[in-house]
Amino acid sequence: MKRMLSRVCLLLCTLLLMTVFTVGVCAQGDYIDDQADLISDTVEQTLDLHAQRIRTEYGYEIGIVTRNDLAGLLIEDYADNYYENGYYAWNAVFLFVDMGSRETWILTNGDADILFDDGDGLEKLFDSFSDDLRNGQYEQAFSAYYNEIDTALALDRDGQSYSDGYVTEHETDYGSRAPTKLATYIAIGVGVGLVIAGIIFAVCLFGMKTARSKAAAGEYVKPGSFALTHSSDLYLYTTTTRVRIQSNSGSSGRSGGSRGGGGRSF
Amino acid sequence: MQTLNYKCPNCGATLPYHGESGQMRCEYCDSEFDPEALRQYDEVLKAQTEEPDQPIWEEYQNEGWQDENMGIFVCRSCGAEVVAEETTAATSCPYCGSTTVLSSRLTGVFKPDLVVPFAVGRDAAKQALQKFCKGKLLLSKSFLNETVIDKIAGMYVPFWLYDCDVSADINYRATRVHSYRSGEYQVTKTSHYLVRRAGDFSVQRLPVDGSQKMADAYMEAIEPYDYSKAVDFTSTYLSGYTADKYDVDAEASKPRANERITTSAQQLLRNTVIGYATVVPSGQRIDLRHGSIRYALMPVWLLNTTYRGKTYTFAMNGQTGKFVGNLPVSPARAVTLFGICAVAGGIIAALIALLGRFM
Repeated sequence: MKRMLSRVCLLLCTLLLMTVFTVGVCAQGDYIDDQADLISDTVEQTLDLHAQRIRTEYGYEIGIVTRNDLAGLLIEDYADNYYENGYYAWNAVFLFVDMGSRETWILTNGDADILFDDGDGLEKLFDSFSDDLRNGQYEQAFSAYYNEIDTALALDRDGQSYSDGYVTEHETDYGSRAPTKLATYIAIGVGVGLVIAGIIFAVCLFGMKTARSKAAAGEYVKPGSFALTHSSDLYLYTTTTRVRIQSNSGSSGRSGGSRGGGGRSF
Repeated sequence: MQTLNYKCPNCGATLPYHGESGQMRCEYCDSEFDPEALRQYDEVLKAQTEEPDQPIWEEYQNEGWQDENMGIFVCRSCGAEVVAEETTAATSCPYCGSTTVLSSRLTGVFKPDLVVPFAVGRDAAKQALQKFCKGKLLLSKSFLNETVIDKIAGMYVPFWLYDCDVSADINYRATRVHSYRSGEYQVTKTSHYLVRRAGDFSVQRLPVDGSQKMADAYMEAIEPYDYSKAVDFTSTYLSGYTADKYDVDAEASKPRANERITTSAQQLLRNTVIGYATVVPSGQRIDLRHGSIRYALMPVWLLNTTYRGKTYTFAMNGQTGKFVGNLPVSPARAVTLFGICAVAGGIIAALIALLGRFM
């Protein structure tokens, strides 16, 4: 049993080291994903620190994603996919910038949807950085974006309204992290653990039962005797299906539920 | 006057000729087909509807053989018939382990065409079993003990060896898929093809064991044998070993040989169909010709053991040393292994997810 334990631990430690190095190589800034290369690494780190401070102080994850090409997707669909695949916090605001189509989209989730989408919150947020973005002053634009969100969250915490004519009525616990993160990590751990255990168990079990019939007689085919005597590929017909893609207009926002957002060209 | 109708490849309805477009148009699914393509399609399908020839195997002939030094002995414990030297006083039945094997009854046997002599000794068989059991995380340590290892019997197992030429002709329905976005729509175009492949190959010395008592799975698992080392049979090769008379004749073994050859034909032709998203066989014709059969004895080391009331059998190729068997799984070790891997794997996965957030 001790030998088995040591062998299993050795195998898992090897896997851990390999994965850690891989993650280290592939890892990038947590909140700034600048594939369009609009800002320098130094500015990226500064903005990332600002985002981490907001995260610690307010429990919101505020991110920026820049791209040159969205692979044919509408920017709001790209934003949804990005957010859903990133295991981000429930309360989040993400700014997406598509340099190819010169469009921006702000995705809001959780309480941020209420904070910004109701009233003129989104418009005010866009106004804070759109001019700088249009003029190519990306560092100033993104800094203004973070500062504006900082202001909005501070007002909301003090019970004041960021959006004109609208007082938010929600309870955001600014003192703690989003609770769903822990549940996510636990779920990942349990699921992956079961899968790994199942794979290792199946491999061990496979080695215990080696008396198996053979399906074919490949070993007894005379070497060099196989000759293809006929080969034809006959085209018959083509069937075409068209599926309408669900999407919203690019110039208007959407709201409702816990996910919201809006877009603007620049 | 005989009428000619074409069927729609998509839905099976009768296809009328549409003069305006010059195509055959289906009134039910709106598909259109080129008349020449349809004609070729129809010809291919007709070729597949003919019944394939029955596999032709020559009748196995043997002149019979009597050797005053050899005889068939019936085990009084399990009834197995074992070929052994007349002078053998006592031996262990390779099937039930009983030491009472010999009987005064004597019957004639067919002389094998060839025999593959033993190349691996009893000691090597013992070591192979120990090596086979090592490193098995799910095996209880109590399984390995000296009493188990001593029960190893070397015996010659009767096999039928099949040679034949194979002609295979298989049709497939295949598709290629192209998907792209057009405005507000996701468009998927699926092109359908009828793919035909035909080929020939030869099979030489495909073994099928001729003993009902020897599980086919074990005998197939220890394949292959090196036939270059096979020799003409003489009784001297049986000295020190036991041999089993066949109780599954060549005729009864043919279906198994046909099955494996057919599967090989399907695999060989399927490997030539490339470049499609989906490939589904829709018809086949496989002919076996010039079949010949030979009777051979192959060396096998057999071990039977009982562990916690269940019998476990192991077999080793007496020429190459390939060892096979089914080991018992220890429930306690299985639960422990699964638990340790699940916990460790889960912790590592959670740590990786956390590390990914902070790096």
